[in-house]
Amino acid sequence: MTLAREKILDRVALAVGRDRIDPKTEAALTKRLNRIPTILRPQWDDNPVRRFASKLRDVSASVDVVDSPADVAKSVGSFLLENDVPLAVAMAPDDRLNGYPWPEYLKISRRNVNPKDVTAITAAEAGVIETGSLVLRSKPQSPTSMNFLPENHIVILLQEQLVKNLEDGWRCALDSSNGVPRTVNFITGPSKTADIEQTMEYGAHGPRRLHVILLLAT
Amino acid sequence: MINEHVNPSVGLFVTCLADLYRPSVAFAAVKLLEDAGVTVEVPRAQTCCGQPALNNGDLGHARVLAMQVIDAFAEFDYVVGPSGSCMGTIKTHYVELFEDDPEGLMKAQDLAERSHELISFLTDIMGISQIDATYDGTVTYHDSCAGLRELGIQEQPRRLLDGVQGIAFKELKDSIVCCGFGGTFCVKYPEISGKMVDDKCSRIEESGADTVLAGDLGCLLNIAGRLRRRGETTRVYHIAEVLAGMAGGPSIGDGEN
Amino acid sequence: MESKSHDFKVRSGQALKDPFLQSALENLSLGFVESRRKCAEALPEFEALRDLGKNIYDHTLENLDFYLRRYEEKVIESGGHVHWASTPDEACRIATDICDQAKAKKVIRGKSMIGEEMGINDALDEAGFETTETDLGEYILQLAEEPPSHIVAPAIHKTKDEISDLFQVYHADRGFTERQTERTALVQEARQVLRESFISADVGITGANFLIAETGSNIIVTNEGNGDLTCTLPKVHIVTAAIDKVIPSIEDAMVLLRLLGRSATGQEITAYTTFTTGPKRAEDDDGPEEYHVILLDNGRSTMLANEFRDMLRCIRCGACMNHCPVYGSIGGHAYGWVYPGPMGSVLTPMMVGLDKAVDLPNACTLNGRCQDVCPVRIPLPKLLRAHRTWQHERKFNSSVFRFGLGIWTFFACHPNLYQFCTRIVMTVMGSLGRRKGVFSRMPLAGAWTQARDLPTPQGKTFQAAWRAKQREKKQ
Repeated sequence: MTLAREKILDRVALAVGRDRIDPKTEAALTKRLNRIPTILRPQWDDNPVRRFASKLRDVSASVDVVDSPADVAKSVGSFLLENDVPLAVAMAPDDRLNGYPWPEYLKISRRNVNPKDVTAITAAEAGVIETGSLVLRSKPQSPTSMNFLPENHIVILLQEQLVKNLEDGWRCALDSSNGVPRTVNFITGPSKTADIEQTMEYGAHGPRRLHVILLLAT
Repeated sequence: MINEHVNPSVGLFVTCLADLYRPSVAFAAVKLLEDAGVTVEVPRAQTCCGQPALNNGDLGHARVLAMQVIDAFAEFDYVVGPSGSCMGTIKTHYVELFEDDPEGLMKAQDLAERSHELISFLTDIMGISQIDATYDGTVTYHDSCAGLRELGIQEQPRRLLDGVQGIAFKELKDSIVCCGFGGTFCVKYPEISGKMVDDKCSRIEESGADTVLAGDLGCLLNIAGRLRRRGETTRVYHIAEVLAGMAGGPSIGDGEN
Repeated sequence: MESKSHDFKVRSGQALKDPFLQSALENLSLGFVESRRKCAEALPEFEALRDLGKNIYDHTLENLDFYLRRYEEKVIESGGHVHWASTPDEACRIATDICDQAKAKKVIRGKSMIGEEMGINDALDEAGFETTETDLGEYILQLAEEPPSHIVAPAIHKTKDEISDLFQVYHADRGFTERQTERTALVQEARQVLRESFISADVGITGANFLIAETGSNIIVTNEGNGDLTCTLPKVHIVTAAIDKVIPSIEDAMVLLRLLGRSATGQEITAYTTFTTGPKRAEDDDGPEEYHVILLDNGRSTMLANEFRDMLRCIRCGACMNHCPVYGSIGGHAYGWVYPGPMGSVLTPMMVGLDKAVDLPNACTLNGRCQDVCPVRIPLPKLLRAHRTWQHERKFNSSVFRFGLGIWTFFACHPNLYQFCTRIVMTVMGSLGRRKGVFSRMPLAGAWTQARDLPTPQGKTFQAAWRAKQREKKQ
């Protein structure tokens, strides 16, 4: 295998016209890698909350923009009842989900999902206004499986977590201590496919429903 | 734009299809150019721009034909031809043939700068926005690919047609989709070409036009041939014929009646 | 994957006679073309992004030696392994070795064109692993034992009925005995069947839309979520990717992601855009314990060195084939290998051999719409012409055709002879066809008259008429 590596790298070096990379070039290329330039990013004028919510609704996610933690809890309850979904959820053991006045009738398990769970509730690292995307990352308090296994995924987001562009979303997913996590997801809507006669269907493998609750700042 | 006081000399690049198949297109081009105030000459030693050779990888012959064109048109202020694909070849592809030949490259670049497709020459160089012409009919327009994508010709023919009296213009759905001619493509892959031109004819039929125009005889022969095979009597002209008032006789594919 | 590109004429003929395929192709172009257009128009920065995307790739390819090494370093730093393969066979061996060492029984796959290139499913099958595609379209094709016909929408050529039949046969032993006919029910059934595959798989193999040198990450862009389950649940995650997938940084990736969704399906962003880096961290509750990347060359280093380097910018969006009138007439299977349409016509000869794919670069009118819509501005017509030049030099094109072309160019290079002969021929043809206006048959013109009439020439050639006029004027 090392032989293949050398052969391939030799061919590549020959193709780009140099035997080795000189230190100056190496430094320049490394500098380019480490910079955070403002490469061209889409701009807009819309109200951030409205844009974020409408982009998500455009891709068939449901969005509730609410004023209080009590309304967050109500939104969860309404979502489950309106969609006739079992009143039992797997909730990420994420501190950011503590302290909400969840409905009494809701059976909450603070753990990762298992294949039998129908609904997962997680927080998110950020919401990207540019595209209406939720940024989630793998961490023990919010395992990635929660975002994909169950039929319903509910995400609770705070207004101050809204960021402008995708690049900003990425930075929110980085860990100050551990750097890049195993998985960073940009999630924009529920799972869908048009593989059968080019007509859209939801819930192909990931969640059939994505419900986002955005808690406005006071 | 041209300095009004200079009377530029234009060498007409006839194109093989106009020469062999439909001289009225070349005569229309001459009339339009002369009406615009230029002196037109037709160099004798011209046959083909070399596209069939170029597009099929026969670069040696393409180069020979390119040199023939370069030599024949060396002395003119402008080289103008009634075809987006021929003039596109001359303007954008000849230089590729001489990458290893500095002298040839220089000549090819010089020719490229002086070369223009007919309609865009009239509008963009001669500054003409209206031509006095009459045509009685509902007209639709097919955008030939090379003219559109190599030379940016799209708005200009519509601008000139707008000024023709008696025309009702209908935009063609999928006007920018290839008609399936593609030079040797239509004879190498006749079934695929047949489907593409059939689609084009369906769009023409759906447009409700009784006349279809374009700026390239390859496309026009292809479209006319398929229309007639479908039993349709839609008239088919080169846009130059309409603008020059020479669209009174049989259109492409029409019999003598 | 074995190439059938030499069969292009037969396969394209069949495609033209397939009414369902024709109708599917019409919907495909209507849908994707229109949604791309809307998306592009809605983003004022779109054209600037295209230039930027092209520049990012040009820069990367010029420095691919640096970026490949840096990428490898970062993968290793994050706890992953990088394997290198020059050929598809080598890559398959590496994959089966990894699966062997992991004592795997079941393997699941996310959609990956490089996997098709490698023929990885066959290799895994032969090595005794139970392999399941998880992308719905690819899963359907796996059941049908057919290759994909489009790089983004692989099963567009399958009817709902055909899918119902396949599911009825293959899902029976999983307890699904009723034949479903509604789309929603079919998707739900596939979801339930494949759910089991996700949960019981030992190894998950995904492709990569991009590999990032800055972090050692790989990006997958999906709508179904199968890719994400494939790289999260099994204990081993293998990424298969070609060496031209490496791009420098996250910032660069975001530029290209903005181009990819819009160009492919007219989406600003897909439902799931996922960055994975290395295996699970020690404290993670899920994720693979092992992370492997198999980097495949398979002709890319050759293209890097020759006039086809521009092709390595391809981000596999499929816009070229969505807008190609030839692809739109015959679909993907006619091209006979992994990649169809304009990009396939450039890549296939490079990878399977110019002599085994003679038709592909020629079955094109050079209309240029593909280049118009390519997000990274690949000059596809120019590259197709380059193939034709190579073919001509090696005499791979038909001798009859070369002869005909030779005759034409001989006459064209001798204007006097040309004008003499053409005057005669055109006058004869003109008088023969004047009354009707067209010929429905003409010797030597069978290919033309197959589908259309041949209009009658006006008779006299322009050169002859012009000379006559000039003579008149002088008198």
